[in-house]
Amino acid sequence: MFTYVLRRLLLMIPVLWGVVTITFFLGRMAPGDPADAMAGQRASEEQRQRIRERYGFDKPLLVQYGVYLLNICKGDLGISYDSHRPVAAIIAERFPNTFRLAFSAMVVAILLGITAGLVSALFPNTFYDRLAMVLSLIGISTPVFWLGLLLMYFVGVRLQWLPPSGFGDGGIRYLILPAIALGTQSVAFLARMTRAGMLEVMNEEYLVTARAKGMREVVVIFKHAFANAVIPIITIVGLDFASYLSGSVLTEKVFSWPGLGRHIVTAIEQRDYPLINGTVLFFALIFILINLIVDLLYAYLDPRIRYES
Amino acid sequence: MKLPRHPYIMVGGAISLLLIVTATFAPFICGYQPDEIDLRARYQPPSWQHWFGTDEVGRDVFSRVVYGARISLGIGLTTRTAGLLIGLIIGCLSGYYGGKTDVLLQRIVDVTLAFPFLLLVISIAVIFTEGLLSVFIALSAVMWAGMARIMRSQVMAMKEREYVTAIKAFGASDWRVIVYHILPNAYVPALIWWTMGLAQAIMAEAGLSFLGLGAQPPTPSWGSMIHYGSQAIRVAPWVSLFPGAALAVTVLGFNLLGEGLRDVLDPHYKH
Repeated sequence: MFTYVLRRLLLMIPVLWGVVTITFFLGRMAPGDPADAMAGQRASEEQRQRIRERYGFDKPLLVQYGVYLLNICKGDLGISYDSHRPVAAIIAERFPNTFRLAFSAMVVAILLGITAGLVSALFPNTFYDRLAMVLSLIGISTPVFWLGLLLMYFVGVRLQWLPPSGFGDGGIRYLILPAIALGTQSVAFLARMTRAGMLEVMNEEYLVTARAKGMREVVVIFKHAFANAVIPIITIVGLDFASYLSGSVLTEKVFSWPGLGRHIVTAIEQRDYPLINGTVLFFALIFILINLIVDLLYAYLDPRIRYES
Repeated sequence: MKLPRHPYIMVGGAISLLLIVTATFAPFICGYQPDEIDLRARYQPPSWQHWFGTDEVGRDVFSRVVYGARISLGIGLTTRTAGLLIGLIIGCLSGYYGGKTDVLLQRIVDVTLAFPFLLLVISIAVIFTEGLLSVFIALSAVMWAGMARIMRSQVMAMKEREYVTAIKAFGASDWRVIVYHILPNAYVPALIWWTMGLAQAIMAEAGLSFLGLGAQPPTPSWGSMIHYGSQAIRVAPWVSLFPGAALAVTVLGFNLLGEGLRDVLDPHYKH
């Protein structure tokens, strides 16, 4: 296992370097002079020059790149054009809300997706199975921001069961609708993965043996069948969690949820490039990290993987 | 011919065909121009006169939804085709030449796939002037990596076949071997990849327009219609709900078509 972990960590280095390099050049390709954007329109040439010197914009591109790499290693993601605050500080402030939303979406997806998939697999080719699979395709095809609006209008505005948007006192009531909107696409994927995984193991001989030993059907299904079908499901859940974190931009905008995604939307409107690129880099790093954790977990749960690779 | 008998292909194909017909004959379907303003008819609910109601400046939402099909379809087809070509070239070079070329190109693929999709698209789109061109550039720049992976593995498998060795022995150039002898045998995965990603491209365009990065007013893009409509959801829900429904049905259609094609053409996915 140690060799496998080491190998995976070493493989990450070129990818991390590539991600940081692309983010740097995307930032430098942004239109306009960064000194102008930071100093504001009324600033004098002298003030602009001071900003250029302070942040190294007057240095050759390769030197700037080197400084950028060093700064990233120190956790410095640049300065926001708009608020003049460090991007890392803004991320630290906003990320907990995004994490909370993503985590809740994952809970919704697991509860609904796995249940639907299990029932579908236990009653294959019945009306319920077909209904669950058709609903899952509809779920995959529904744009998250439109589903958000539907929930907001019908549940929040018409029925008034839950607050239609906002953060309020941060209570769970405000979290339910955005979590459902964000988690629904994965409900569909999870239902299909669970169904496929379960159907694959349902005819295995060890289940026949378990039944022949007189085990109760619940034990056969959950302890023997589901435990073997769960590995690919863990992968999907892990990868989905990563995509909730980064994909919460649209959901947070619809529900005015004060997370990092909502902040990116404001940064886009104000063309605050350091904040956009810093956040993209941050999410890319999280994405890579979660992928790594999922891979390691997978290898831990299924020894064949680490031996084969 | 077993293709049309698959239920997913039938339903998905019918929806896709409806979209193409709608986009092509939009001027004949609509009773109003999509940018025809009538301030006396602001936020009118759906009626016989305005099937999907009217928006904040009295424009007919139905006409805008119908014309919006052109944008969704246009962006979907062009970005997928651009992504296909880029992925095809990189995948072929990577798989055929192997060695250092392969290592270098695959690291580029790895890095592209390491980014969260929507955020990478946003960070590219934001560099360019607002509009559909920026959406096209951003999506094409991101949506090729999967194709490159598929093509690489196809080419690697094909180039070891005896018929390719024989053609090479006859002195055929690398270009000729790839274009005339390897690619025609690898069209199935390419077709499945192209179709399955149409829905993703259309959804991404709508997402970018919803964020204000794609089509700009008065262009009738579904994403920007949902964006502007969402601001008045309490008083006029139809302004955002109808374009959203059109988007969802379109995405469903292409998803069904893609899944159906995969079921029929790809032996690994047969039920």
